[in-house]
Formats: sequence, C-alpha cells, structure tokens
Amino acid sequence: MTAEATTPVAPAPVATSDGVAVRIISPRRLMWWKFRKHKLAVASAIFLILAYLATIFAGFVAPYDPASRSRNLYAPPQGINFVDETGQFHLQPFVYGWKMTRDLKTLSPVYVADTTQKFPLRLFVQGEPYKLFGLIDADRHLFGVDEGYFHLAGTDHFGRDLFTRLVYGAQISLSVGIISVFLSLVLGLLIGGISGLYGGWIDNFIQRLIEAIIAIPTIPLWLGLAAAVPRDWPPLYQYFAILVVLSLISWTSTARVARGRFLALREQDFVTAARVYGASQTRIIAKHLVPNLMSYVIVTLTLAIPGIIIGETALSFLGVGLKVPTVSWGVLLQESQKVQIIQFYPWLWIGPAACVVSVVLAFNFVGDGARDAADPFSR
Amino acid sequence: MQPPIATADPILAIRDLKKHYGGKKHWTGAVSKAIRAVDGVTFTIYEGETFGLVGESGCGKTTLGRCIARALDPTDGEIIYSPEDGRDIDLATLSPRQLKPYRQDVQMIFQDPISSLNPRMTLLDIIGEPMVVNGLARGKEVARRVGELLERVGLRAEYMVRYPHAFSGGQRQRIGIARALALNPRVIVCDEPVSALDVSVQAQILNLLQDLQAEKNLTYLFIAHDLGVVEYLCDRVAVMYVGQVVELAETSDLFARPLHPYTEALMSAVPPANPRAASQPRLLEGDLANAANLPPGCHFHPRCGYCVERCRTEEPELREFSPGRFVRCHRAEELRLDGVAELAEAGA
Amino acid sequence: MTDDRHLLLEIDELKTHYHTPQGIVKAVEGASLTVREGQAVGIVGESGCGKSVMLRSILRIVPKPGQIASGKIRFRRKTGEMVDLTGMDANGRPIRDIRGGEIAMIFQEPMSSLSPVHTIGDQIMEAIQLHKKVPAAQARKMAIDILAKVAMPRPEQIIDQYPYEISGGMRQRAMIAMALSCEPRLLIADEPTTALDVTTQAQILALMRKLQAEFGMAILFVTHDLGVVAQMTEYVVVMYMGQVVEAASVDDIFFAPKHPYTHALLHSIPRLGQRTTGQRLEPIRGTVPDPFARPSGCPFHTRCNFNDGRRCISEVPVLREVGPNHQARCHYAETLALAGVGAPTEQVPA
Repeated sequence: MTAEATTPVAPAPVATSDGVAVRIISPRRLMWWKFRKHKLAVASAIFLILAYLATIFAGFVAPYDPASRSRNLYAPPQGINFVDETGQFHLQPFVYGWKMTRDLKTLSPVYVADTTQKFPLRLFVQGEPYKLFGLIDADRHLFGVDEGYFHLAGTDHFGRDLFTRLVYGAQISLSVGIISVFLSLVLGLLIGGISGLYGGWIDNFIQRLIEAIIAIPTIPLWLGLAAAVPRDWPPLYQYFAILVVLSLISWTSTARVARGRFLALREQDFVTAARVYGASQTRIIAKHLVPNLMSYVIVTLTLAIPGIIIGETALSFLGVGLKVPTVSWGVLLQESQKVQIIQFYPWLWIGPAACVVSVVLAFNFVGDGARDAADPFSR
Repeated sequence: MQPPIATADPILAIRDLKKHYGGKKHWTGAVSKAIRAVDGVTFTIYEGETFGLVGESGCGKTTLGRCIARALDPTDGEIIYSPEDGRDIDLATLSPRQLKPYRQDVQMIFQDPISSLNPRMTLLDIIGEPMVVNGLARGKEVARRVGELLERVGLRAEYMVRYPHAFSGGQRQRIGIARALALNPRVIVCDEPVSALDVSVQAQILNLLQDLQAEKNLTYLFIAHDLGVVEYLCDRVAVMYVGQVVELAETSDLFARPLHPYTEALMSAVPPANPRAASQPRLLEGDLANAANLPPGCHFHPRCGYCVERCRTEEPELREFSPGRFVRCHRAEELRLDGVAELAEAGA
Repeated sequence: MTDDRHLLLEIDELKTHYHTPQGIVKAVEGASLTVREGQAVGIVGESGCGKSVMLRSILRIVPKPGQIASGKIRFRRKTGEMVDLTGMDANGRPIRDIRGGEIAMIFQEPMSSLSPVHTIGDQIMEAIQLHKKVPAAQARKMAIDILAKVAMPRPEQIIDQYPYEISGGMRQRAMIAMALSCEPRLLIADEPTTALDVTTQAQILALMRKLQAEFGMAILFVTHDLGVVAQMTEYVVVMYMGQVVEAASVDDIFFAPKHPYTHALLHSIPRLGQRTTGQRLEPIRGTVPDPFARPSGCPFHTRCNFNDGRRCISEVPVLREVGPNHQARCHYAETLALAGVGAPTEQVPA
C-alpha cells in the first residue's frame, strides 16, 4: 500500500536542510505512544496499578485487621452520606450505625440504619495496629471512623470487615497471577526458544508435549495436581504449591508464542546478516532474537494473568486451593457458597466476584492495548 | 569500467554447488521428494568484477547467493575462495569456527530494507556490531568508524544514535551497505539491493555501489531480476533457470546475442521504455518448472519454442561455447537468437 | 491534435486528505486528468505520490481516515449521463452499480484480492450475478467463457479451483476475468504486473492489450515501470506529491518532457539496450519529502536540478498548457530544454 494511506505514529517531524526528517525515537517510546492511544487500556492500567499499590499497602488501605471481629454479624455495606435525615448537608461524609433486629421466622439478623448514630468519616485515622510490609509498626489507616464502625462492603458471619478482607485477599489473588506468570514465562521462553531454535525432533517432541498438556481439560488437571498438595502444609507452602501448579500448565501458551516468534525472526534478514558477519549463536539470541521477542511475550503474559487469577479463584472455590485462614478472593467466594448467603447476604459474594471480574477485564484491556503497541513498526 | 578479466585473479570459484531441501527420510518412513533449489552450479568470479546472477523468482539465485555467503549450508559442492595470501580455501565445508576468519571477506547486502535492519538497535549498534564481533575495534573507535562509514554511504555521522525506523527505504539500504562495509570485505553478495526501492532512489544506490567498488576494489555478486539494472552494472552475467545456470557470458555478448532460448525470452519480455519500439515478447508457455518435480531432458523444454526430440530426453550440460561463453542448450550452434538490438528493431 | 472520442472520466482538482492525529496528509492535492472512451491512460509516480489514493477516490473506496476534501470526479454512465462520483454516497446504490459494473479494478497482489475460501468460478459468478440478472447455470457458462477469453488454460477445470491452487500469473488472469465479466467501460489497473515475473508480465500485458482492442474499454494504468507505460498507454500523467506535474501523449513524455521530474525519472533508470560504457545514471537527489512537511512553492524544488532558489521555493506553480495537448506544472516548462530518451535522430510523425 501507499505510504499516505497509513497513519504515521510519530508526531510531525522537523525537516532539516537536507530534507531528512529528524526523529530520534526509541522503539520503546514508539510503543508507549501507540499504547497511549488505546484509552481503555490506559484507564485499565491505572486501575491495576492502584490495585497493586493497595495490596502492597494493604494494612494502610484496609480500615481493620482481617481477623478482627465486630459485634455486627452479616451486616450489609454502609452507605456514605453527605445529607442527614433532616436534609442538612455536611461537608464531612458520615455513616449511620446499624440497629439490629432479628427476623422472627429465620432468626437471621436484619439491619436498619440508626439515624441517631452518626460516625463521621475521616482520612488517616488512627485505628487497629498493623505492620506495614510486615515490618514497620503502624496504626494509621487511609480512611475510617474515630468511634463506631465503618464497613464499606459489609461484614461476614464472624463480623469481620469484608472490605478489609478483600484488600488482604488481593494480596494473594493478584500476586498469584504475577508470580506464576513469571514462572511460566521462564519455562515458556526456555522451552519455546529451544523448540524454535533447534527444530527437528526436539521441536517435534516439545510441540507434541504441549498439545498433550493443552488437550487435558484444565480444571481436572488443576484439581488433580492441587489435591496432591499435602493438607497439613502451612498456608505459605500451600500458596507456593498452587503457584507452581498454575504455572506448570500455563507455560504452554508462552512457549508457543516464543517458538513462533523465534521461527519468524530467524528468517529475518538482520539475523542472516549477523550470521554472515560471524556473530555467535548466543549473541544472535541475546541481541537480535530476544529483544524483538519481548514485546510479544509481554502481551501474552498480560493476557495470561487473568486466566491464572481465575484459576486460583476456581481452585479455592472448589476447596482444593487455598484454605481458611488464608484470605484470597477464591477463599472468600468459597465461604459464601451457602444458599443462605447467596440469598440473604449477597454482598459476601458480590464483593469478591466484582473484584475478580474487574481485575480480569482490566488485564484483558491492557493486553489488547499492549498487543496493538507490541509492534510499533506495523502500520 | 570493464576490468580485463583475462588478467584478473579468480576470487571465488563455485564448483558443482548444490542446495537441496527435504528429501530426507521422515521417521514415519515416508521419503519426501527433494526440492533442488540449487542444482549443480559452476562458475568463477574474478577479483574486482561485478558478476550478475539473473533469473525469475524461484530460480534459486537467492539461495545460491546465501550459500556463497554461507548464510546457508550448501548440500554439496565447493566454494573455493582465494584470500590475499594466495592459498585456496573451500568455504563450503568449513565449520563455523574455521569459517570465522573468512566471513569478514564475504559480506551481504539484502533486498528488503525493512527486515534487514534490527528495529531495536541504533545505527551505531547495527554497523558497529560486525566490528565488535570480529575484534576489529572497540569503544570510541567503533563510533568513529561507524561515523566514517555513514558519511561514506551518504548519511550523516550524527544519525548513528537513531533507530532504523526513522529512515526511508533508500536510506535504510545505505545503512545496510555501511554494515556490509564495516568489515572491509573483498566480496559482497548483493541480493536484489534496489528492487524494493523507488525508481528515483535506485540510481542513487547503484551509483553508490559503483563508486565503492572503484574505491575499495570490491567484487560484487549481483543478484537481480531486472535485466536493465544487470546490463548497466555487471561485467559478466549468469542466467539461472530452476537451480541451474543456463547461460554465462560477458554482459555485452549476452545482450547482443543470447545463446539460450530462455535468455532470449527473458530479454524480449522486458517492455522497452520507448513508445516507438513495439514490444515483441517471445511469450513462454506455462509456468516455471517445479523444482521438486523437474521435467526430463532439458528442464526448459516444455516452455521452449525451439524444442526438438533430443531436448525431451537428454539433459544438456553447461559447456563452453566459445572462450568465456557457457551455455546449457543442445542447439546453441544452430539457433540464431535475437539480442536486444534485434528485438528493438523488430518492433520499430 | 484533437480527440473526438467522448469524455469518459474527468477528474477536476481532486483533493483527498487524511486527517491523522499528527496533522493532515494531503495525499491528493489538486489532481486533474481526463480519460476518453477506449483510451489507455498511464499514471506514473513513486510510492507516496498519491496515485493509489486517487484511484480509490474514483471508486469511493478511500480507506479511513482519508476523505475527499474537494474537487469533482465526473463519469459518463452507460446511459450517456454525466454523474459526479464525489457527490455520491460511498455505500449507496448508484456507486455500487458503477463499481464492478461500469468501472472495474484490478490490483497489484492477486492473492490478497481473491477470496481464499471461494473457488475462482464462485467469485466470477458472484461478480456477474451482482450486475446481471442471470440464473446460476448461465452465469457459470459466462464465467467459463470469460476465463477462456483471458487465455486461461483448461477453464472448465480452473473454474472449480481455489486461488492457492494456481500460479501467480493465472491468478492475475482470474482477477482480470472477474474485472471484465461485466464488460466495464473503464478498467483501473493498479500496478497489475509489479508482483509478477518478467515473462509472466509479458503474457499479462499482451493479454490486456488484446482485450482492450476487443472490448474497446478505457484503461487507467498505474505503474512505476516506464517500459510498461511506453508499451501500454497512449496518454501519460506523471504525479508527484499528490499533484499532476505533467500530462501529455506518451510520445511527448518520452521524447519531449517539459517537467524536470519527468526528465529525471526518464534518466534515472538503466534501460535495456542502452548500455554505454562509463555513462553514469543521473539519480534524483534526496528522497520524497515527508508528507507532513510539504515543501513550500513547487513541491519538487527540494530535489530539482533547475531550482532557481526564488520563484521555485516561494510560488506554487499551476498545471498549464505548454504545448498542444501537453500540460506541465513548472514555472520554466517552456524555457528548460529537457532531453527525452534516446534523443531520436529522425522525427517519426506520431
């Protein structure tokens, strides 16, 4: 096609005296420009960055300790108010306390907002002590109330603050995605690279192996592997075991992408040129193949993370993944499996489900944007 | 610009070179038919000349060029290289380690200005890497020499910090040429270096190649499908058809009086850039022969207008028709084929 | 020299622009040309000169974000009525009737212009049935006839084959068959032989010449190969940066060029049979300017050997008559003595 029918990516260049356009733009800058045009991807990326920041500063973001119990069992989310019952506007937002009654038939608690109890909301309140990064003692929280209680997402059967538990659960659920994707990246690049570079029977064997792994339905395979994890291991060990289980299965897609790109890149003339001027195999891989491969791999990874997050959630939900007292979104969903909860205390499953859905969607949007940006030279 | 071939020394002698693909026994027991991309090519390139290799797509000219630069491993045959010290070395059989000292002497320029430059490297890295790999320069010295090379090929030295995507096709081709020059080679395999470029830029690159040849006493193996470019640039030309050389001659002889019917067909097919000369192509029947399933006898006979019974059964050899002229046709002596002058006349 | 054939297509000051986030790319910037019935007109120019966009503007298939900014494209329909194609709805009924029915187009790359999942026959029959109300059996017969007309070997078998099963030359024949199936009055050929080997190109060019004589249609032939232009066209339009810089009969273009760009194009390529020892090519300096940074004045002044440094860089030249049926866009068209190719010793009356 003609050049004018395409959309150049770079901003208008400055023509110099010899008519040569001046653009010193690294491929990375070019990718960033292209990614930036994808508004939804940028918004999703910001959302994900905030989510990961929240998990890092979980103790600060969460108003309570994940294990601390309040008197209010099964309390629904408290709405934030600016206007009180008399219609008067308050600059400082506040929440009403709950008045609990019991349903006489089911004996389940029924909460009604108690307009006589007003708890003003404040930022940086002093609250329950926690250890930042597990090291530094602190007791300031991002938001909360000085007296009374504030449950943004409601409470569970022990009266534990659900919002707090979601934040702490994200620590597990979100890190599972990143860490096991990293593991599968290493596996996938290595195996896919070997496959693409050496070809022949090695390639054949690896491709058949990948097909065999892909052919096994994921959930039973996960179930089988996860069931092999000893019950009596401490939560931390279980967590790593689940990580390994998840990445043992998800490396296949990375390996396929890596192999395909290796095969395509190997045929590029710049690789031939490097061979002709005597560059060693190692040098060709390190300087010519891998840098051109990375953007594609990053795309695959971004698109693989949501699968892994869902995998962790599914395993925990089915009761073979992480278990109480560990808090993860899957564990929270598993706890809310009872019909009673689904029917009467919907916030207990809507909360974690909404978290999973929004994070998975955000990763997919970022992956979409990254895919478009991955090849900054395509037009 | 025609060097006296008789007094020049051979620099590369290709002897019965073959490159076959497939044809191996598969582990299931099936034997695939070999694709004979290059099938017994023999010719000698002399120092300082431009040796043209023409043919249509699929004739094996690119594969041959890549075998000679040892970007591909030939299946069989010899590539005798004569370094300056006077020995003869067969490049075809050397291991990568043994080959490395000679790689500097034989470099390549590619057709595609996009895929021939690594998009993630600056010009400094692209042109400097060959020097670093071969231990010719290091540190500041690399940058100095890259700057010199860039200026020699008509770009500015300060462009070395930029990435290839900032340059047009012609400029990228100049960068590719600078990279090939980085090792001070003696032979450059030019694989269709101008066919992907705009007409107005082609001449710039051709002139640059000519100047560099005169300045550095380079020998070119010039692969092309454009006969006009080949006639303009080359001293001698070999015409290829499905993996074999069918005719080899000095350029002026070849274009004045072709000996092989395929050469005549190729030349007559080029539409003359002159509205008063009507084109008189010797139209060929059918398509290029399939390199995996070649016809018996002369591979060109199904499309040849001069085919006789002998052509169908007996495969012709490449033979020396007259000193310096080689042809692979049984009827070379009896046929009187038209050269470019007659073809132009026929139309006038 | 007057031409009494009916005007078939008249492009008048066409401007097609691309609005990109980085600015406006003026792909076609005031291009004009005419095609008479049965006339073969060549458009010559380098990549980025706007020739492809102009062709697509005629058929109203300019890819987004491009759009026709101004100008007229008048076309004489079968009924004899002149219509303005720029005024039509790009997806409306009238333009769809014209596309394929009265103006057909063949592309450079036959593989990507044919659907890989349909047989050759299905695609030709679809083209026939879109514009003619005929039953399937008859459409199939017509498709075989047209394949035979384009000298396709074994048309009865080829009709049931898929594009990947046949060679590049045969695919281009199939494309031409499809284009001709509705007997268009204007055939637009966008570099139809660039992707082909020279011997195949010769076959296709011979075929197109024969078909043009037989069908009497006009051809708008886009190419960068001056040999193809010389052999295939009677009138030539040279384009540079979205503008027509010269338009004349093919003879005048080759032997009496009036624009420095045409002159430079003619002398920058090595031509077969013109080998003169030691003579160097005269390349055009520099490269085509960035489309975002159009030079001031004459767009060619940055590369022109005759740039005067004053008028050429400040004043935009207009396309004007510089001889009988000969137009050029250069301030000095009359005063420059530009050599044609080969400098013919005797003047053959054209």
